[in-house]
Amino acid sequence: MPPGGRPARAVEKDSADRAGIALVALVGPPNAGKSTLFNQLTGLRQKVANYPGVTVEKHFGRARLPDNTEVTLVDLPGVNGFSARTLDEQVTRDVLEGRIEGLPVPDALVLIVDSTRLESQLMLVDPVLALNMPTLLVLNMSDELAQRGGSVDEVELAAQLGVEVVRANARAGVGIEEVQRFLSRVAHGAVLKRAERPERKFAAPSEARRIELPVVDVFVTRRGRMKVIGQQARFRQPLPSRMTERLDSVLLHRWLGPILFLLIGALVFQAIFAWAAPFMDAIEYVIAGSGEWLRARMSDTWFRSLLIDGVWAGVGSVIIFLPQILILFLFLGMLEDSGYMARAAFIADRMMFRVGLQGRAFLPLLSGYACAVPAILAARTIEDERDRLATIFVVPFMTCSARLPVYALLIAAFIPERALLGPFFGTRAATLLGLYALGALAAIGTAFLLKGTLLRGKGAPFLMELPPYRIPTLRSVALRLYDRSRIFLRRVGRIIFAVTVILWALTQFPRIGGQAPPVDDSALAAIGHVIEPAIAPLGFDWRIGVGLVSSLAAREVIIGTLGTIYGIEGADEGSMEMQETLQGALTFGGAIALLVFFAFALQCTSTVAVMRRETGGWKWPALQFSYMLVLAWVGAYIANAVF
Amino acid sequence: MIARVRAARNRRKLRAALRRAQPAHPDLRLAEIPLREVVELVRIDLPADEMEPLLELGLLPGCRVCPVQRSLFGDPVLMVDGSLIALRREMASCLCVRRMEPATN
Ligand SMILES: Nc1nc2c(ncn2[C@@H]2O[C@H](COP(=O)(O)OP(=O)(O)OP(=O)(O)O)[C@@H](O)[C@H]2O)c(=O)[nH]1
Ligand SMILES: [Mg+2]
Repeated sequence: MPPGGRPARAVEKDSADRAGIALVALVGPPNAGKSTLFNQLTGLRQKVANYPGVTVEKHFGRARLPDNTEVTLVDLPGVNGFSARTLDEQVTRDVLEGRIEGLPVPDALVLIVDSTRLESQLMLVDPVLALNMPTLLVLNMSDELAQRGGSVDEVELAAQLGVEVVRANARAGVGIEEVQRFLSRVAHGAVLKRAERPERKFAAPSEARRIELPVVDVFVTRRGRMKVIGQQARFRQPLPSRMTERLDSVLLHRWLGPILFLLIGALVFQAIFAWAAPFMDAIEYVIAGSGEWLRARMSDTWFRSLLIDGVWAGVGSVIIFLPQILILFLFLGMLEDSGYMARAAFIADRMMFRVGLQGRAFLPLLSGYACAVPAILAARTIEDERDRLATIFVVPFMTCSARLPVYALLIAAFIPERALLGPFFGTRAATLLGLYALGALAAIGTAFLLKGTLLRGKGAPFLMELPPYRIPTLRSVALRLYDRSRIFLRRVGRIIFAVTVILWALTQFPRIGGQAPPVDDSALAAIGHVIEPAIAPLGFDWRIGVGLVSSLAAREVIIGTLGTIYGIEGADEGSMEMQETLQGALTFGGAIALLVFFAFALQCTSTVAVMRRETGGWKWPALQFSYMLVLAWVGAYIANAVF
Repeated sequence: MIARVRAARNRRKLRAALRRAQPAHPDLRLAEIPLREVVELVRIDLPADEMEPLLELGLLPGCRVCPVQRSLFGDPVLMVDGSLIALRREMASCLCVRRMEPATN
């Protein structure tokens, strides 16, 4: 990526913007490095990870070429063929065949394959060349090919296939100039359609002949032809990756595999608490200190109240959780980049199978730990439509990173820290793990229920390619954390800031003798008291009720809300100690009830919106929202009664 | 007359088809192959639509397959042409294989 890399954002699709600019599509099998190359060429930061099926939607970007021309690139979901069995594969097919309204058929294709498995990856060459578009074949991962003792003669391969071929290492930027040169020629309209170019040595059999054959024979003939082409191009298959063999002999070991799977999970939770603590303390110190410093230097006006008691307390109380979120993403990032994620799906498949889902569903569910929105999109890779619906229905039960601050705050306030497994695993990490497990159990139980009723079906088989292990680069991990911080801070800066300002305003009315009323008599309390009867059985007072309503904007907003309310209430004592205030406001049972409520409830408008888009209607999101709300209320009620 | 010839031809066809369907010795399934043994895939006993994803990944008749790991539940990870493919035990028992000659093993 060039140093000026930006987080990925789709270039607007309007044709005026693109008039006269050539459109080039990146196609290839899953995990071949399409998005990596896309990022190199456009300077964007589309998601890249080491497992198949990362990209599930078309993403546009502008590539500025060294000769100052431009092309629009579109990064596509990986496909092994054009049978388009899944929604993401349909996206690729629709773009290539020009079936998307307002989007022209691409002017050229860049076909990216993993050169370490050249022969099987070339299976895609036939259907791609049959599209009869100018095509550049990129033999990616050339570093791994060379390192493991493989080789290929790309000049001969080009002659055999009748297309241009370049060797590349998209991650390091090797071969990018050649790709850019091709794109320049496309931009100048100087690349010929394949049909206009000299005949290649091995003609693909005509469409008509292929259709008559049973599917197996089509593939066997194609494979045979690609084998011959591979031999002509002197392709030497590299040795299997030693690192992958060694790691798999442990991580996929029949006993060790599942045990390590659980241990890795436990490690993540412990790290979220233990490693983050010093950073959180530091941030808290800075925020509280600067708030006090400001307070002392301002006169007692409404503005000081808004700034210090409203915004500083509200926004500050959420920012503290940035380190925990970053540690979560550090681990998720390393798991995704290393290639373990696909193994985890394999290990989890049996359990998923029992509840009627499949191991593939594990990947969206796991990315639900970050955020439900991309996770719901990721479920597009699931072939069976009922399986996909069941999966996206239960994704919001997975503990997303927006719940983490809420959990962390309540746990820190109510669960005393004691060592359980030596210094590695304490009661707080265990509680957190328990909450994550609670969400996962709810997901599993719901999936089981759905697959037995509304979405009954036989379910598709599990089939998953395991990528070789790759060492995560410092750069990619650092960039992930940087992007994550930006997203988090933007959320805090926009939603939470706005909500705290509104809440603060509501606490200032009705004015009594020109002064703000006591919080209990304010407009905010009046609103809270309306909700109170519904939540009193759960052990929540009106403040928590306001928090719950405001958390519909985003879950972590509840912290900002409570921070603001308590900040204003406690302004006289000048205390910003959320935890202590909470201990006074909630009983132990109420705290557990609140945790359970957050584990189950679907307080996220973005999730509802994306559900509507992915299911094409309001039926599923409405059902999901009500189901989760009922479950949350009942769960919280039981928790409050039991504890 | 013509009818009898046709019937005889049909019978012959049927017998040939049966012979093809039942090889001399029972099929060896991939699920039974020990780890690290390289075998040749001869047939996939699955309906065409379920077979296609396997074919697209390069798991097709004539290719060499080697189970490299097996989970607690018997689900294998296969090495096929340099790719690792994980699937379920049930599917592995739909893959008919043939042992390789010792020389090529
Ligand atoms: N060693 C090496 N790794 C690469 C190269 N190009 C990409 N990778 C890695 O390969 C993995 C997959 O890259 P992606 O760009 O996400 O692949 P993709 O083709 O977009 O995958 P899907 O979106 O799932 O279809 C990532 O871990 C990359 O870091 C390369 O040239 N050499
Ligand atoms: Mg991609």
